[in-house]
Amino acid sequence: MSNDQITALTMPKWGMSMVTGKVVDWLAEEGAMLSTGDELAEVETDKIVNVVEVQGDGILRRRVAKQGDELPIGALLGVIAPAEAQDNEIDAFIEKFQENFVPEEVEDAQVKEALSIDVDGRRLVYQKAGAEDSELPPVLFIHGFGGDSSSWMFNVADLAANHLVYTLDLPGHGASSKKLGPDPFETLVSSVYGFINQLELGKTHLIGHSLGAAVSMAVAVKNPELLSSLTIVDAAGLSDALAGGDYIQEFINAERRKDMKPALQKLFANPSLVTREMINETLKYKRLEGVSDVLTALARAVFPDGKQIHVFRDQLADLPMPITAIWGADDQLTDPVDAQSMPDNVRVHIIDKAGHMPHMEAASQFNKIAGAFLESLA
Amino acid sequence: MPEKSYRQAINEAIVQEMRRDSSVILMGEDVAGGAGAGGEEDAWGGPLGVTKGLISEFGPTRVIDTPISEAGYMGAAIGAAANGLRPLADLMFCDFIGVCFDQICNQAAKYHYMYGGQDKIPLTVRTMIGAGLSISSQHSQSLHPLFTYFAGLKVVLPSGPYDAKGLLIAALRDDDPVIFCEHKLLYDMTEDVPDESYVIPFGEANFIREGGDVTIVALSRMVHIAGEAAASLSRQGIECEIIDPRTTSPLDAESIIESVEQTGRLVIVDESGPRCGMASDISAMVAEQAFGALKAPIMKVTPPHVPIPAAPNLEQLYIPNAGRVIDAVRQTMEYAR
Repeated sequence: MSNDQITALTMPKWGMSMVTGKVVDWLAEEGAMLSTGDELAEVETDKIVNVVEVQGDGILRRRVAKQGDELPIGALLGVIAPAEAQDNEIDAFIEKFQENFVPEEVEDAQVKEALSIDVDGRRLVYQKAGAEDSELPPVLFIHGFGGDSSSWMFNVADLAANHLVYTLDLPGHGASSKKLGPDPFETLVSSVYGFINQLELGKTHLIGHSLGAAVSMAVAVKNPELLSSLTIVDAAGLSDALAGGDYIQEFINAERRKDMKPALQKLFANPSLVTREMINETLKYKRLEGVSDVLTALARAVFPDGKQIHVFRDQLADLPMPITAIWGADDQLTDPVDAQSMPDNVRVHIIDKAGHMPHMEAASQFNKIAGAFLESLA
Repeated sequence: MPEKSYRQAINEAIVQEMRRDSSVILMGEDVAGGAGAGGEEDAWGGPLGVTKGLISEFGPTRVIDTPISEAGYMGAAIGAAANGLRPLADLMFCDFIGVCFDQICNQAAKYHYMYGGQDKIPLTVRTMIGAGLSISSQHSQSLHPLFTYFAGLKVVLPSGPYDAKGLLIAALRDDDPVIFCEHKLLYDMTEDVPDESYVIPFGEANFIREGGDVTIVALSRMVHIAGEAAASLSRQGIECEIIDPRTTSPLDAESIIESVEQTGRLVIVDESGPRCGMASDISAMVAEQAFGALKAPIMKVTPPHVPIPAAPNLEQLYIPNAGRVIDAVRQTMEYAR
């Protein structure tokens, strides 16, 4: 019996800034028969708790990491192997792994030096990951109102296996310029257009969330030739109703943890997913000079009087590129009812037990749907 | 995001506020340049170089080197504040409060109240606290509980560069007198600090670490000592929640109580003394408001009630360390009624 059939299950890397993860709980018992995609353990990062899935097939022979352990990326969580593998072989495998394991050096430059580009006189900050030499079209992720690139921390690595993947901080958000100009929505749309053009991305798979989905639809309507496909996630811009109008105001007003926490909890079906770190990171952005003004101006421009004014539902049927809509069934902000009666060219996927952020809350399901959609076009 | 030191973060906060608001001025001993500095370009900017470069940009009318008379320039700063300026006055060591006690504690703190709210004193006093440089009893104390005692003063203790910048900008924009306590041993600590201005509101505690077994409240440099202890305890299966109140006046009592109600155990780590100090104050507050939640007596980790020794070996014994925090946490865990 060789060691080839013994497989290490390791701490995944979710997002550029992740250095360690904490094992919150095991979701599989020793002795359980597992295969790729099965839930292995719950791991907490700075931002959120998520589920690590098994890569490989076999029996979970050892749970090496203990509940509560804080481990670097790539550290050994457990071992799967066929029933034939002897215990001493497994012990030897673990010993050898631990002996040779060196935590990945956190290269400050790589993590912290975000890329940037000037579009229409605004500095846009973005990140790039994945297959530089891929012949498939690149993927561009667009976050929602008040978000930033890190919204996609659980999704980039999956799609980056086959594609070059970009995540962009929209103007007014993240580390990008905080100037929005007189027509804030148009600024967001032309920034995405300018980004694709100036970086010469060619035909792009555009994936937008919430307000970012409305921006993505506007880009698709205006410049359909730029897109290979369009994926909209818990999209704004499909009806004039705005279920989560309160959220927008609460988010803008929140200056303290006590106010930010209940606002952010509305984003998730399971409110306990909102960690103090997520609240802290959001407050750090909210405190920056100019951000409150920018968000207020943006909210006024796109959601005046609790209504949405940029609605693209009727234009979707005429778009030439393949379109998918993904929605969390328990979304309190953009009503899942908006996913109903879509034109025939839009494939709709509803994810159960997920709120407004299915790409975070049900990341593995989201990645499967988005990945399969892009694969079907390759 | 660029990494900056505590020193740079403070300097940047001052520069940005002085550019934004021409009523912000700087006063103090050696704030422009050290004694004997050769011209503006060589200005050292305070004994530890925190205000370096300000004289070159803002000139001697806004960066004022004062005579060695705290009573004089602190009084002048309060008068300037009462008349529309926003002075940032430098009390080099907090230990020197003795020679401007009346100005700060009797006048600035009470002015707004005494005159029925008609006047305000938008004064910020930067001052150094903390032991560790072997500069003896009169240059090493942590007197933030003394300032906290006086209603009318706000008291701020940043534990790192990010907080230092956001809290100092908040102080300079605040209409009340604020005592901004910088720990001498933190000046070279670095972390990510945004280039943009930002304000961290007073009275908002920071949760440094989450854990369900023991709450540790720590201030200023002691936040890092508590962090070392918590990391070690975590490896032994004890999870500590570390709360940095950031400001002692106002104090975010709600966050402390909320955490103690979860953990039932409290250790307070502070570099002020064991008598009439912040640890005593917070301990009393929790005993009054959350007695029912406590599973063990509250533990204080502070220096002993002695003058601070200058001898390095004795000074090291004086300053609370991670070992003492670990012992205190263990005692609360092992306590049996």
